[in-house]
Amino acid sequence: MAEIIRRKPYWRQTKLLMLTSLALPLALITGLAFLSERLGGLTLAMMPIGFLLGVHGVAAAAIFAVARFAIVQERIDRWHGANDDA
Amino acid sequence: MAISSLTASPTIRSSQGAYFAVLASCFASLVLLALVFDQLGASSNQMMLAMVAFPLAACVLIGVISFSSSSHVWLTGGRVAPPALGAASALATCLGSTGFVVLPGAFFFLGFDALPFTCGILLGLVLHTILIAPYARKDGSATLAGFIGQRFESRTLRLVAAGALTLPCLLLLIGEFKLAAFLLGHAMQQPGPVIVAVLAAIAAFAVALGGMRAVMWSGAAAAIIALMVLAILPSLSGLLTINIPVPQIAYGLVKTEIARLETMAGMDTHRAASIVLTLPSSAPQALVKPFFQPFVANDPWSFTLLTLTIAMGVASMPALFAQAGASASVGSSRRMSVWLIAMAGAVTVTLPAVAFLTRLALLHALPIAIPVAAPGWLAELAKLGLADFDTEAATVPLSAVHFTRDSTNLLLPLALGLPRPLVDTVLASAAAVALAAIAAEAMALAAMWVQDVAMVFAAPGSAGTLRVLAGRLLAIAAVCVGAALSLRTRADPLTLFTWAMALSGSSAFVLLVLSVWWKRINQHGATAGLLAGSLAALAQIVISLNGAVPQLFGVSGALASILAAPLAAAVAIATSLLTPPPCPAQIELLRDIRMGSGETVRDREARLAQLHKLDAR
Repeated sequence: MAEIIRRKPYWRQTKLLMLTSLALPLALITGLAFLSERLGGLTLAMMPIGFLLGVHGVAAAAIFAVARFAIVQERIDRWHGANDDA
Repeated sequence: MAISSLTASPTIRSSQGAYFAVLASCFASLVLLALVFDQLGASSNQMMLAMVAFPLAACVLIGVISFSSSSHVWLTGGRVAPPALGAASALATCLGSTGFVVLPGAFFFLGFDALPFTCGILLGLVLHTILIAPYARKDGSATLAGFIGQRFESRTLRLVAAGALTLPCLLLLIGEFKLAAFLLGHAMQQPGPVIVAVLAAIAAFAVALGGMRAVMWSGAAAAIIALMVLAILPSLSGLLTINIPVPQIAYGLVKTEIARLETMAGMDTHRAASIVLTLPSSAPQALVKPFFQPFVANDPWSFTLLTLTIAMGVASMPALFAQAGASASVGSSRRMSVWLIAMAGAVTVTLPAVAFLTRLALLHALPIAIPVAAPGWLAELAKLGLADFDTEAATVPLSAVHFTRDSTNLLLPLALGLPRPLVDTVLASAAAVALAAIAAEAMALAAMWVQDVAMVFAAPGSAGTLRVLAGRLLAIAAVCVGAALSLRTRADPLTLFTWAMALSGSSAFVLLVLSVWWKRINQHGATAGLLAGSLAALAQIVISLNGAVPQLFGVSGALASILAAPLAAAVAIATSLLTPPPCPAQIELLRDIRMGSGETVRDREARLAQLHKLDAR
C-alpha cells in the first residue's frame, strides 16, 4: 500500500510532463499546413515562414521537447527514488 | 541534469567508440585515396566498387565479431548499447534508404509539399520517445508483439499482434531491397537481382551470427557513413553555389533567383483540389512545381493527415521498439532518444537544402532548351537509365527532361562537376543504410516469429539454445522472403513505406499508448482494437489498389491509419469498458512498467524462472 501511495505522485508528475512535452511539437506540426496558408507571403531569414517553420521550426521544437522531457523526467525519477543510473 | 550527462552512462565501453572512430577514419581515408587515384587516372568502375564494398565489408566484419550464442544477447544485444551509438543505429533503422535516398528526391520534385515526410518522422520519434520508449525498455520484451501479449497475459493476443506486424515489417524490407537494387544496379550497371542477392547474403550472415548486437553495430556504422556524406557533400555544394558552407540555414538567400529560374522554366503553381495526395513516383519525371510553393501536390488536409500517418507509423515501428529495449537502463533509453532526435533533426534540415541546391544547380546548368550537345553528366545519367530526354531532337525543353526520384542524390555532385569519388560516396552511404535497414527489419521479423509464434508457449528464458538456432534460421528466412518478394513486386518503395507506416500505426500505435497510459484497458479490448485497426487499414489499402472501386471516404490508402487508428481506439476503449476490468496482476505489472528504476520485467521473470528450476532440482 505504501508503495502504491509513493507511486501516485510520481505517475501524476510523469503524466503532466508527458502532456507539456507533447504540446509544442504536436501543435506546431498539426497546425503547420494551416499556418503556412495563413502566413503565405511572409518571409523570415529570407525564407517563406511556412517552409522555415516546417523545416527548422519543427526540428528545433522536437529537439527542445525531447531534451526537456529527458532532463525533467530524470529529475522526477531522482526525486522519487526511481532512478537507477549511476 | 546538465547536458553533459546526456553522454554519461556507466555502461559505455570506450572501446566501442574507438572502433567506430576507426571506421569513420577508414572511410575518410578511402575517399581521400580514391580522390588521389582519380587524379592519377584510375578506373572509375574499380573506385566505385571499392567505395560500395566498404560498408558491405564492415557489415560482414561486424557479423563475425558480434557473434553470440546466448539467447539474451542475440535477442536484446545484451542491453549495453551506449546512448549515442544506439541512437545512430536507430536512425539508420527508422530512416533507412527511404530517408537518405527517396526523401531528397521527394523534396527535389515537391519542395514544400514533401514536408509531411520529415515532419511525420520527427513527430513520430517524439511520440516514441515520450509515450513508448522508456516503458518498452522497462518491460524489456525483445519484440513489440511480445510486449503487447505479455502486458495483457494473452498468448492469443501475442500471436495476433505478431501476425498483424509481420506485414509492415515485410513491406519495409521489400522497399529497402528495391531501392538498393534500383540505385546501385543502375549506377554500377549490374542486374537488380545480383545486387539484391549480395545484400541479402550479407544481411542474413550478419543477423544470423550476431542478432540484435550485429543490427545495432552495423546500424551505427551505416549512420556514421551516411551522416559523414550528408555533412560533406552539401557543405561543398553550398560553397560552390551560394558561397556559404552551411546551406542548411542559408539557401533562402537565393530564393528570388530560384523563383525567377522556375518561372522561366514555366513551372505550374496551381493548387491541389481537396483531399488530394500526390506522392512523387519512382518513374522518370520532369520538374513541374516551384520549390517553395505550398499545396500543389497535396492540399492542407492531406498534408496534415500524411504527417500524422507517418508519425504514428514511426512511433510504433517494431524494429525501433526492439532497439529501445537494447539500451542499458530507462534513463539511458531517454538519452538515446535525445541523440536520435538531434541526429534526425540534422538530417531533416539537410535534406531540403540538398534538394534545393540540386534544383539550383540544374536550373543553372541546363538552359530552358537543351541543345543536342547536352552536358556530359546528363548524357551519362541517361545512359545509366537515371534520366530521360529525347537525344534526337535539335533542342529539348527543360520540361521534357525527366529525372528519376531515387537518383536525385547523384544529381548534385554530377551537376556541380565534383570529382567522381565524391559521387561514389553517395552510393556507399545508400548501400550502408539500405543494408542496416534490411538487417534491422529482418531481425525484427525473426525475433517476432521465434518469440511470439514458434516459442510462444515456452516458459520465459527457457530453451535458450533452441531459441537462438530458430532465430538464426528465421532471420535467414526473413531476408530470403524479403529479397524474393522485392524481385517480384512492382510497387514503388515510397508507397510501400507509407503503407507500412499506415499499417503499423493502425495496428500497434493506439494499442501501445493505451497499454501504458490507460490502466482500464484489458485483453479483450486490446485484441478487438488490434483486429479492428489492422483490418480497417488493410481494407483501405486493398480498396485503394483497385482503381475501379471508389476510395473509402475519398481517403487514399497511404492515409489508411487516419480512419483505422481512431477506429482501433474506439473499439479498444468500448470493448474494455463493456468487459470486466483487468486482473490485479496485470495492474501490478503496469505499475512496475511505469516506474523508471529496477531490472527489466522480462529479465527478472527469466532470472526467477531459472532460480525456480534450480530449486526444483
